[in-house]
Formats: sequence, C-alpha cells, structure tokens
Amino acid sequence: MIVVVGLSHHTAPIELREQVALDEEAAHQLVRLLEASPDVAEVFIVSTCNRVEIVAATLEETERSSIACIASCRAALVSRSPAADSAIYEHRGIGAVRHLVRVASSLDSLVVGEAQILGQMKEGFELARNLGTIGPSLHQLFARASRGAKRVRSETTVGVGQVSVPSIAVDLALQIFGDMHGRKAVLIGLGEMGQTVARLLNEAGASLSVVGRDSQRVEALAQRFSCGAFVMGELPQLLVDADVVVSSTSAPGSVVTLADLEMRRKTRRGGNLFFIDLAVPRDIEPQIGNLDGVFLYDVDDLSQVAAESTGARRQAADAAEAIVDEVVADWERRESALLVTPTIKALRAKLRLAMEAELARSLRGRLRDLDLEQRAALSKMLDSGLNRLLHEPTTRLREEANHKEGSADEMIAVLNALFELEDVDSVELDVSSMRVPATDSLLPPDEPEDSGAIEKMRSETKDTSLRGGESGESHRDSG
Amino acid sequence: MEVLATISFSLAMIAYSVASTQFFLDLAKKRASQGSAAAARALLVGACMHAVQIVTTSFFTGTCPVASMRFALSLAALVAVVAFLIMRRGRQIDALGTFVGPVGLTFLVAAQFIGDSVGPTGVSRAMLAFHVTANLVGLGFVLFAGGASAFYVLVDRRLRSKHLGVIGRLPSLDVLDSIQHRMLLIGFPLLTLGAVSGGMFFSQIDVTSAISMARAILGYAAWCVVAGVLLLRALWGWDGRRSAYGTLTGVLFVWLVLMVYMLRPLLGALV
Repeated sequence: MIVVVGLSHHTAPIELREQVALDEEAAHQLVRLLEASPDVAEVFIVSTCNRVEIVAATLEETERSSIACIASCRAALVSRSPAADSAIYEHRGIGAVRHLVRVASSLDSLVVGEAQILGQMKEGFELARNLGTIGPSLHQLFARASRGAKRVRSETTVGVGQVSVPSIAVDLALQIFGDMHGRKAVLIGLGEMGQTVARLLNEAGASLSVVGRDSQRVEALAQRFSCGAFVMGELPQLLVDADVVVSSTSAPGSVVTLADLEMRRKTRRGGNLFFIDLAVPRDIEPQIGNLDGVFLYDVDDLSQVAAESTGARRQAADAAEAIVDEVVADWERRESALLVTPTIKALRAKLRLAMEAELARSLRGRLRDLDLEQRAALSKMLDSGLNRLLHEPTTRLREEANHKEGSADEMIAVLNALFELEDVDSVELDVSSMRVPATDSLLPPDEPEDSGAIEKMRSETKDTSLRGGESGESHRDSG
Repeated sequence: MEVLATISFSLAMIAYSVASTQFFLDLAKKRASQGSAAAARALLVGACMHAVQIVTTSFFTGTCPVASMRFALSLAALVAVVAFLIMRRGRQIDALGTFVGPVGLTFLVAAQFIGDSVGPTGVSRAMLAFHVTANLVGLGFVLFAGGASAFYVLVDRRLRSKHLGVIGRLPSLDVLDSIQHRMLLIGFPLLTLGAVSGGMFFSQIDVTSAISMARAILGYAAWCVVAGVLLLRALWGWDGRRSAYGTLTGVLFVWLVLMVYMLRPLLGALV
C-alpha cells in the first residue's frame, strides 16, 4: 500500500517548513533511516521550499502495516521539528496515489501550474533510487504520476502563461523601480532559482554582482553573467548601492541582518531596496522588511502573489483534475490486476501439474517409444492447449477485476473452491510451461505408476521453480 | 462668444468624463494595461476645450482669468491636466489619469457655480494677476504632485501587504516618486512667487477678517509644508513614503485654502 506523509504550504507556514526542510544530505539520512524501518518497503522524499513529503510503500497490503509505516514516517518528520507534528498530513492507498499525481501535476502547488515541482520530485526519486529504496510499487507509481503530470501540462492550459516565482520577483522589482536599467542587483548564493531571478534582472537591464562563500563557484557564475564576484565579507559594502538583493543560499541562519544595513543607512540617502529571499531556511532577517523604503519578499510571499495572478489557471485546473482521475483509475486497475494474478497463476499451475502427471504416465505406458523430439512436441502441444483453454477465463477474470467492484472477488472464491487452488504449492506458480520429461529421467516402464513418480516430478519442478522464482523476483524489481 | 463658451464647456465636460471613465476601466482591467492612449487623447481634447472655455468666458464676461477666483480654480485644474499629459510621455503613469481626469472635470464644473471674488482694493491689477497666476499654476503642479503621492502610498501599501492582484497596472514607485518630486520642484517656486507677491499687498487685506486671516495662514502653511518636504528630501533623503505623506499634507492645506475661497460667502455670513 502507498502512503504519503508530509507537510506543505497548505498546513505549515514558512517558519515551520524551514525547520523541516531537507537538503540532499539530510534527505539521504532520512531515507536511510526509513529504509531500516521494518514496515517501510520502499521510500522516497520530496523536499521543496513549499513541501516536505515522504512517499512510501508498505511491506504488506494490510491496515496494520500502513499504520505502522505512517507512524515511522511521521516520527521521522517530527524528529526534524516537534512543532511540525500538528501540521503533518497523511494519505494512504488511493488517496496517497491521487495526492502524489496532483503534486506532480502542480495542482497542489501554491502557484498552480508551475513547472518546477516535477523536476524536484524527480530529484528526490533519483536520490532514493541510487540508495536502492525504490521497488516496483513506487517505480510504477512515479512513472504514472510523471506521465499524468506531462499530460496535464500538454492537454490543459494550467501551465500556460509562464507565471513563475522568478518572473513574479522581477515583475515586483519593476513595480518598485519602473526601469531596471542602471539599477544594481546583488545575488547572494548560488541557488538555482536565485540564478534565474538574477538572469532575468540582468536581462531587464540591471547590473549584477554575485556574492558567495565558495569563491571558485562564485567566480564561475560571475563569468557566466559577465559581472563582479565578491566574498561574503564584502556584502555590507555592496548593500550600500544595491537596489535589488536576491538571496538563495543553503545557510542555516540569516545571511543579511539589520546590522548589515547600518552602513547603507549611514551612507546612502533615500532610495528603495528590494530583498528577494528565495531560501528555506530564510536568508534575510524578517525585521528588515519593516524598514522604510525596504521591501522584503520571501518564497511564500512571491508564491502568494503568483497565485493571485493565476486565477485563470485555477479554472484550467478543473480540466487537469480529470486527467488525475484517469491516472488514479489506471493505478486502481493495476492494483486489481495484481489482486487476481495469484489466482490465475494458481489455476495455471494446478492444470499444468495435472497435465504433467498424465503426460508422465503416458510416456511410461503407451507412448514410451517416443524419442526426445517427439516428447518435446507433445509437451508443446499440451502447453498450447492449456494456454488456449485458460486464455478466455484469464481475460475474463482480469476484465472483471478492472471493471466490476466485488465481482472479481466472487470469481476468485469460486475458482478457489472448484479447483482447490489454496493447495497449490507456491513454488509451482512461477513455472510457465510444461517440462519435457527426458527418457532417462522416467521411471522404468514396468514399475508401477505409484505416487513416487509424481513425487519425483514434483522435486524436479521445485528445482526449476526455484530458479524461476529468482528470475521472477528479478522481473518484479525491474518492473 | 457665449455660445462658443457653452459649446466648449460641454465638450470639455464630455471629454473629461470619457477620459476619466476610460482611465478607470483600464485600471480595473485584469491584465496590465500597456497605456490608455484613447483615454489620454480624450483628456487632451478635454484640456483644449477647457482652455477655449476659459478664454471665451473671460472675453464675454470681461474678466481676466487670473484675476478671478472662478477662473483660478478652473485654470489650476487645467495646469494639472496639461502637466499630466506632458509627464505621461515615456512613462507608464496612466493610472494617475484616474486622479487628474476627475480633478479637471470637477474644477471645470465647480468653477461655474462659484461666485466671483473681489480683489483687495488698492492693489494694482497687474500685481494681482501675477499673484493669482503664480499661485494657481503652482497649485496645479502641487495638485498633480498630490495625485502622484496618493498613488505612491497606495502602491507602497499594496507592496507591503503582499496582495497586489495583477502586477503592472499601477505606476512604479520610483516613477511616482520622481513625478511627485519634479512637480513640487516646479510648483514650489511658483507658490513662493505667489506668497511673496501676496505679502506685498498683505497690508491691504482686512486683518480683522477671520476668513482672510485663515486663508493667509493656511496658504503659508501649505507653502511651509511643501518647502519642508523638499528640504528634508534634499538634506536627509526623505523620499518615497515620507515625502508622499508630506506632499499629501501640503495638498490638504491647499484644499483648505480653496475651500475657504469657495465657501467664503457662507463663512462670511456665519462669522
């Protein structure tokens, strides 16, 4: 069963989200921690500035297992910040699947239709895959969610208009300054979104300075923008002449404080200053926003402004929800198909065993003169016959599972009762075709056809089944 | 001549109404306006008709426009409208049209219903004309600066509240601040000339009249506030929001002076 446990902009303010936010290292550790939990079979983490969510698949398809899995995930998040407990939400089963598809499709985003979320989810997924915590369930789910998200972007107008946090930030700068030509912008840190905002400001005419701790990376970025590179110690001096400051570092605390603006206050007379804080945890001391002539926007503020300007997208989101419904229904069909698969396998194994027993008996009796080639042909013929015989019931069973709620269960019950499928040895389930009994593996023709022959056949079957079982497991993993 | 005055008055009124409505509609649009060219054209027509109306009316009434309170108000509004039309070239300040348009319309109409004042006796007509002209043209610029300041406060508040709706419909803060500063820089010397010329015939004013005294005090208060705004800005960089509030205070005093002028008959009866 799929479970999603997390918190987002819907339930937690930025002050709380920044306490729970995970960088790559922290996400790595949390995935490892959850992997060790006995109830978590598969797991990956989505961590963005607007949400932190743990997506997991339980070890068993039971209520108890899902409850235990959710508890483990919740404990992992609360360990980041106890205050997060009340803001954490949980989804399980189809609800979790729907939530994940909506998140991937950017329907749950603060800025509905923004394009970054799918990439951020992929990063989390890839991290988990490299750590080996992705199995068939999450693999299948993520593939479906990605396809759904792509359909939403291509088949609806949810993504039209390119309203993004960076573009909103630049629009706000223009609302304050009118024209960016001759304005000075300072980029603190090397965050991706910060770079995008800086690039847009640069394109609008602002001259740019890049400040960071890693001088080599700062130099490289400054070369790309053809601008000056500075170290953090020079920031207060840069703030004196700055008009726009874009901050996007991964620093745990404030990078710009009220004290840093003291030099500006003493030196510069007048002029507005616009701070764009894209970091979580935030880089700019919030009190700075109360100063006269200073405007401070953090990620939540920018997202809020963007959301207000995208009323039309919310209408388009209704059409996108229909696509989400289709993806969820597809997942349900997969789950239903998984439900009938053991019955189909058991039925096939039961009939195959019976056929093999009869074949063995005939090959010891009237057909004992057949050579290996003829025996193989006979085996193949029975195999084809079995497939032909089972094709219709198998198809029908899968269809029932997909379409009619409950009727598949009834059919499974009837088949179990008629064929006593519970008795089928599990190791028989993965053998897909008739084994060709070799001449020398058969009992002497004059030996009575007792149960010993069948037992020998069974032992051969188990050997093969075990090998088949491994390959079957491998198949599931790659699925 | 009277017919021409009536026609130009009607056309000016219609043009101002159309321009004001168009400016409001553009501001209310969900998408950011790239410029209300039609509204600006209507405002220009209104300003031209307004000017024709002032000239023709002064001819047929035999009154110099700058020697009459009735015309002074009307002319001050015309100055504000013309200043706006000049300033909007190359700047996205069309939202200010929602202030300037109604001001032009209101003052045009209000001037028709204000009784003419009698200037102080013993003052040369030339001096009086100079005094009134300087004051009313200065008043026009200060009014426009006040409009820019009001919009500055509005945009500043919206930016701080972080609920902007569609961005780009309103002029940018720096443009508004710049307009406000320029208008004050132009208006203040004119108001100073008005104050100085007024001081020259201050002795002619009936100082026992509370209304006259109030008018003079309010006029000087307005001048002081505008001077203070410019001074603080130059010395300590008090621009932006503080400057906007200061300008609005100056405009408030100007309004009070105008109110005293307009309500003089009523106030006189009361006092």
